[in-house]
Amino acid sequence: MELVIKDYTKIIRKVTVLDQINLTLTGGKIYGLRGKNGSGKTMLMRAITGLIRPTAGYVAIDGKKIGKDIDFPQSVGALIENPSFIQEYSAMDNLKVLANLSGGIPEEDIRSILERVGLNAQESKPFGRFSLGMKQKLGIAAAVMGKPQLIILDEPINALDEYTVERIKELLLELRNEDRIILVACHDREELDYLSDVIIHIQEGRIVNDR
Amino acid sequence: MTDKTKIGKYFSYDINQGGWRELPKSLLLIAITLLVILQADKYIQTLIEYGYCEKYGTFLDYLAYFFQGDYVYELSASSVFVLPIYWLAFHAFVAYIVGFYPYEDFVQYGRMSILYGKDRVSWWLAKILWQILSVAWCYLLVYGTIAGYIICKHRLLSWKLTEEIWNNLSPELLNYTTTDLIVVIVILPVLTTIAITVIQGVVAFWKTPVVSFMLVNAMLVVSVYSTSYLWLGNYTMWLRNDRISPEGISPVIAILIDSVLIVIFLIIGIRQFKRVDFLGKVDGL
Repeated sequence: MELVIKDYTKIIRKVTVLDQINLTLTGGKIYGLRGKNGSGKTMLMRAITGLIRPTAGYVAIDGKKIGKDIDFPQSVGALIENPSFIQEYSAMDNLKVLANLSGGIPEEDIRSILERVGLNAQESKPFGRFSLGMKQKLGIAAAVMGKPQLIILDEPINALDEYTVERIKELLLELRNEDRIILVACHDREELDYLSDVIIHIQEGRIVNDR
Repeated sequence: MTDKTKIGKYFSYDINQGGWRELPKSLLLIAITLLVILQADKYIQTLIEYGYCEKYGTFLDYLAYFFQGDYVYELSASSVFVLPIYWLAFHAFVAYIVGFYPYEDFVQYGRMSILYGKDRVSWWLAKILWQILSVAWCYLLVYGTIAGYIICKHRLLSWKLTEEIWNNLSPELLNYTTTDLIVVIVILPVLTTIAITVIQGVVAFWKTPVVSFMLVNAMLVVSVYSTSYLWLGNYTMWLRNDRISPEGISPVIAILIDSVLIVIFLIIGIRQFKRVDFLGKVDGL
């Protein structure tokens, strides 16, 4: 899989939030996105997932332009900002709704990914009563369930305990080895350096360097 | 490409989410309907007391009473204007029930559901379907409440007007055939409400649901004062029918306008939604 971002610019209410972004992401790598608050990290993630449309430029996945050839990447999982789920549903039921919309991910896989991030698949507690950490775990589970080709994670280790952070890191490295493109934004410099094969630095909506 | 299965999946999600969320609110329509029924009963009771009428109304009498609206308003020094409050309450309430859920889902869970379903148009069309179904539900609640009342009171559950009642209220209605009555009392109000709802849905995404809701209410109030094809509220009042008021609304033209508006706004909505940004509630932009 190859993801190409070409001259991508996004202007919202006269503010340039993404400015001439050019990037190529390929499978089998974890890309770390670094930048201050408001630098455009989340906006870039939205652009890649197709949640926002460009003012100029494009995002293409294997040659298919988002917004022209396809509405969204055909195999994507994302955790962007605060996880937003159905308040009255349990973790399992929430993921079942999304799995059904995405074309059917076996229940066994959902169960397995919930256990993997440290949530009990049998738990009937509704999402509305989850702790911050549980919400974050469910957000990660939703993003990686079904092992999509493209995984976008915005601050995935926020509110997680050390033990869970290790499990998530292990999971991401495993997915990377299965040839997925993983884009992670994280304020923890050390964790981001450890995880990432490539660091992308974004500042005021522009890519300032990538190594 | 829009996928029927995907629309079905989104729609089933909307029924589950929006339906259960809005269902308790819609029960207030039962109260509005009962108030109209009691008002109609009071009027019929007076007719009975004065010997103009011998019996209470049928199902159709109450339905016609509910959806009558008001005669064409003519501005003059002597004219007294009474706002048809129950008519307005019903339509404003329908706009309230259908107007907020789609946008609220869009800024919350919709972001997730659209990403996993991977189809913008299906997501939006499912929301429109949900709105249409909600409109139908609101009308069914009114019909059901009237039918329930009629059954409880052992009155006639028939599609026939009581001549003595309408001789005093609006005798022109007695010349209508069954088909005419179905058109002006059922089809036209339902179709017009659907047209208003589709427009409301598009405006909600263009501006905000609150602005859209306020515009619908403003249009309804203007409809009461001004009889014109421009103000769709007129179509939902059979007292504004051109056979009752010559300067009124022709049902055929109204049905055509409703249908054209639904198609136009569906197209505008699809085009708009293909480009809309999912920014979420947290964005200050």
